[in-house]
Amino acid sequence: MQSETTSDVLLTPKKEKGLKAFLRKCKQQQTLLLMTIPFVIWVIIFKYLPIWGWTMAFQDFKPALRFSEQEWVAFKHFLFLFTDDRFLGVLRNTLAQSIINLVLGFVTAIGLAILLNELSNIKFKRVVQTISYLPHFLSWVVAAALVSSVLSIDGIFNDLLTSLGLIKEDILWLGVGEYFWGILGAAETWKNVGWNAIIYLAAISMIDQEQYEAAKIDGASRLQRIRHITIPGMKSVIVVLLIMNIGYILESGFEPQYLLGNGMNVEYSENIDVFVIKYGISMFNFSLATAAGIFKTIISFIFLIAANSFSKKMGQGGLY
Amino acid sequence: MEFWKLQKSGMGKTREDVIFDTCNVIFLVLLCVVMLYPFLNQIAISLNDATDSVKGGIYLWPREFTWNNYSHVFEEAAVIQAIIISVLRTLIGTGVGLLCTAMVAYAIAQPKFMFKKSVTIIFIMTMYFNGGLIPTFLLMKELQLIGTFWVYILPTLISAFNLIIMRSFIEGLPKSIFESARIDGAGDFRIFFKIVLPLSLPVLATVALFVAVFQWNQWFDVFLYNSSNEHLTTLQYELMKILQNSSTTSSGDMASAFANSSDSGSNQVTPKSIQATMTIVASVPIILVYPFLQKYFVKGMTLGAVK
Amino acid sequence: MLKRWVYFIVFLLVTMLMLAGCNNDNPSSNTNDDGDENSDGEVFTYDFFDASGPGTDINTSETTLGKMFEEETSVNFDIEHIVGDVNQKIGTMIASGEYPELLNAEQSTDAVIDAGGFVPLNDLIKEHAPNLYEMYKPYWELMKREDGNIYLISSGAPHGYAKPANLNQGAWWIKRSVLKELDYPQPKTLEDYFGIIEEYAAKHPKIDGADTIGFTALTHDWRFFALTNQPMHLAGFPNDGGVTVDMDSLEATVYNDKDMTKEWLKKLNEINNKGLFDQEAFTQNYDEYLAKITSGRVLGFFDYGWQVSQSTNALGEDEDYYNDYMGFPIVFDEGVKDQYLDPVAYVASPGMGITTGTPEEDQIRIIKYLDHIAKIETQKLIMWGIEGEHYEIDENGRYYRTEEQIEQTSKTDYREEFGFTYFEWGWPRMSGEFDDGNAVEPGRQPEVATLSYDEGDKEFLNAYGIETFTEHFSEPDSRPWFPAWDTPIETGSQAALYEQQANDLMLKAFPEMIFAEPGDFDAMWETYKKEFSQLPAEEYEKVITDSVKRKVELVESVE
Repeated sequence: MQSETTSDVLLTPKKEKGLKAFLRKCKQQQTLLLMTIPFVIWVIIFKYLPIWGWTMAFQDFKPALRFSEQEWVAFKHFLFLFTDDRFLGVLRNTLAQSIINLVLGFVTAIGLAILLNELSNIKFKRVVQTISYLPHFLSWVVAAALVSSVLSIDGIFNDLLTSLGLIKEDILWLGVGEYFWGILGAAETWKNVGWNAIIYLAAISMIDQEQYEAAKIDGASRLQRIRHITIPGMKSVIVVLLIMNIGYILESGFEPQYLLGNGMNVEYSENIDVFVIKYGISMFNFSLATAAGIFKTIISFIFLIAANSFSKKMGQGGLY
Repeated sequence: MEFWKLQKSGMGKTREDVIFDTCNVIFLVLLCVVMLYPFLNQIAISLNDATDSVKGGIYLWPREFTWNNYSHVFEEAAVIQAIIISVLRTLIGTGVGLLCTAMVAYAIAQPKFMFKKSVTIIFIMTMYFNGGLIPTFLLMKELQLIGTFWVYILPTLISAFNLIIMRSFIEGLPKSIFESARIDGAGDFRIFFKIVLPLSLPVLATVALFVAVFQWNQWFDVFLYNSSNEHLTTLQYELMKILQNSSTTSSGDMASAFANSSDSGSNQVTPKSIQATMTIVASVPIILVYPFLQKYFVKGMTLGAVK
Repeated sequence: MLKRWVYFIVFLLVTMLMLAGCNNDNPSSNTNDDGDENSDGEVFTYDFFDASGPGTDINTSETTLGKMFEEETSVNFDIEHIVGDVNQKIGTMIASGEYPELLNAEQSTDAVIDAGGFVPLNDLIKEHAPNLYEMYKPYWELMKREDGNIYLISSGAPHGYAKPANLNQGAWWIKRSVLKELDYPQPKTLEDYFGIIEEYAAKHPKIDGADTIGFTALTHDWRFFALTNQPMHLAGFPNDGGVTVDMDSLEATVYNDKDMTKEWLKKLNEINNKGLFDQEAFTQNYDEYLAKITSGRVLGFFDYGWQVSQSTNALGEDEDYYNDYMGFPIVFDEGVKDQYLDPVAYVASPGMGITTGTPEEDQIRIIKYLDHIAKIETQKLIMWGIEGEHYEIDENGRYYRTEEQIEQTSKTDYREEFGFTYFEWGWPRMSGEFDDGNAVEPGRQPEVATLSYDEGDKEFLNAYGIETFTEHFSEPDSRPWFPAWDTPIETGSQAALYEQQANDLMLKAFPEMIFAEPGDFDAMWETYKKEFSQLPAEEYEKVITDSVKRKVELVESVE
């Protein structure tokens, strides 16, 4: 990519140095600057300015007091977080849930996009596409209620497994901690696969059709065309999404865990966000919530940078 | 069973193809059943008598048909006003957001752009932190955005996620198109509007859908910034209010139950039926956006349009 | 293509301009309510933010009652109810220092007081609100915070005791068809109660084709207390939350690790072993629990009336008299006096307060409005309505309602339109009885309650020889501190941490113990007890004990 940058507008005399060269370049690229600078200012005001709030993590923050009046407590809230007996378990659950979601989310969405692309009946394709993204619009309250009823003792899932002879006795699926990650992964996939597939469908639709025609004439089979045209066509989007999502490694959501979690599966369902809600927000402790946020941000950056440089090393390009 | 009859019987349709198509169609039909059921179930519950729904056991068809749940929702005077605000914020938020996102994406997709990397990083970082509720609230207060419509649009102008998606699509466009345009003397604005935008329709449609759904579903910013401005609340917020209102057993009612004043008589609505009605009322309008945008996903159309 | 974009952008710009034009007129308080202007002068509108629960947001003058009050006081309120998380909303109010004039901050009340968000009301009430002072005089000292200031007026100043006619509080429920088949037994102890369920379940292993569920429980989310509170009730204590308070020493004791809890869990373990305990008790959500009860498969459960009202309403409305449930006051041993009905109680917090930043003349107008509401005539108007329209008075001066009036005053729409919904709770009000002996709340007036009983209700009342469904419950003893759960607990303190940690521990350990093999139970209990002993329970007990003692002292000092 870098080697192609020598377009004719770019012929900046390399000998000129310093401010003058810089200004000259600015002038050359004034349109591009005009297109970005207002938004850079915007992002600094709306996203970066509120970071002063991170100071809360080092205070016993009381919203009523002015900044100078707050009581500083150094790492108290971080220590509370990291020294809690359950923290390791909570961290493990967060990682496990988010890795399962990441892998399942990618594989199923890409798979669905490919299958949809293979349909030649446009009407049928559009109907399936629309129906498949419906569950995304159900709130988790509704979706969790549904999951819970499907998995109940008299629920359809137990009935199905019994009639297939796979289990002898009904299983209380939500009552066994070990099943929770799987249930969560399945629920997330069901809810979001159609939604996640949209972006891949967009990527596929930008693939040049002539490639398919040419491959057909060369006698490439269906699977070969998928492997050699469709998937490479989505590759750049897949890589970009993958890197971004690896950055979200500690964000496994909280609504489904909160709604489907119970005393019997708590050792597998409770993740960082649920923990922070219980001991932070709901106890008027904004400081703890902020401390957890900072921790997550740091981990995010570490993973993001690692994933990005790994991808670059593999020659797949990176986010930046 | 007619699906595969409709499959184009183009040249070179081998046995392998037929098997593949058949399995594919069967799989997707099954998938549709799983995806569609909850929705039909919510429709059935929303059309069923609220008190009767408490008993459970409603699947695809209402047991005691009624429009009560819907009339309960639409009786709220605020709902109509809220629909207008929701539509406006979705339209304006999507339009403005899309334009701004595309513009920045175009700039950072230009290999020669001097701040390419720094601008990209500045935006990417915003995906992984936030300053927290109270600092953000105070910022909105300083900017005098509280109590205005713009608090829905300005803070969410560009999402870094959408920006990166769009950038990677623009980077995928054939370089030759840009170069020939530059040789013709076109400036960046011209290239952006005349070439990049028309060529990027699939990704524009995708991002438009993302932004529209986000804007439509938002209620938290209404809760924080505009809850006391009745003329600026959105549909999701009003529905949330009706839903919470229908639960006689919120924590607040513990106190009134304690004083035994909850002599509130029979409730015609229950949280369950309102939840179902709300799901339908809130999601059907936005769901309809997708089929409309799907025409921009049609293969090959984009490149052909320029050539 | 380009043209379309240009059109779209122009469209957007125009809409933007239009919107920018129309949202500069921010509604501010203290403005004239044009159109409704009083002949004798200005009408003042204030904001009232109510975090105590959801509701329809209106201006009080849109209701019949609110209009009457406006005519008297020239004041009305824009009421806004909470929609999302209270702490977050109140947190932003505190941080920005911008409050509505009148505020009920519910669980964030202490944070607002800490932040100096409320103005002291002591002098304001004494100078401008004689009726309000009269109503709250017995509790004047209880209303004071540690700094001697009164910031809150809470709803419900008790004035005598009126026994409720229907069970809204805790009870052990049994399905009526069970009672009928076993010839109306009267269970008193836990043994009796589960004996009845066991006997019936043995005869009827299936109900309507589904497996019979002997006993179910509600444990979902914050409603978990509906399973942890039982030991306290079984031992003869009212609902003081996580502690029992000794009547003599006034010491508050955490009971979650005491023998009474062990006895209760052991019983559940035993009935689980007999196949009577609902296997889904810990996985079902609130809706599933309600549906189960409504389905008729459940023989018994313990819960508070207000939590199962959706189900009991649904069961009451259908034709079948025998799928309803009847509540009993169950205790551990015959000798224990049950205390399921709440005693006369003054809850000092949360309540409404006037916020800082409200100019003094507005403070006076607001307190005068509250004073108007505190007049006895106004109280009758708010609770009973208008004589001849919503209630009648018989020759003995007793208030009653005709069947039509009962029906009319229980319609949600009508209650909102008249204003019952908005004024009957949250504002200054009394509870118990008026001086003339009538109940403050129509629902507690036996004349009103008994009129709504149907044939099925009467059959069971007759069979048990009682007039109302609470008659077989003991009268509550006097507990001036009740309820202990309204004790303010400092945010971030060990006591606050204890509440959350104890809840988390029980949530995990209780199902393990209940579903364990009976032989393992004792060992598991010991493990649990050991874990529990590491929680800062003493700190919690101390906070509650101090508050209980302080309250009792204050009440005695008034008497």
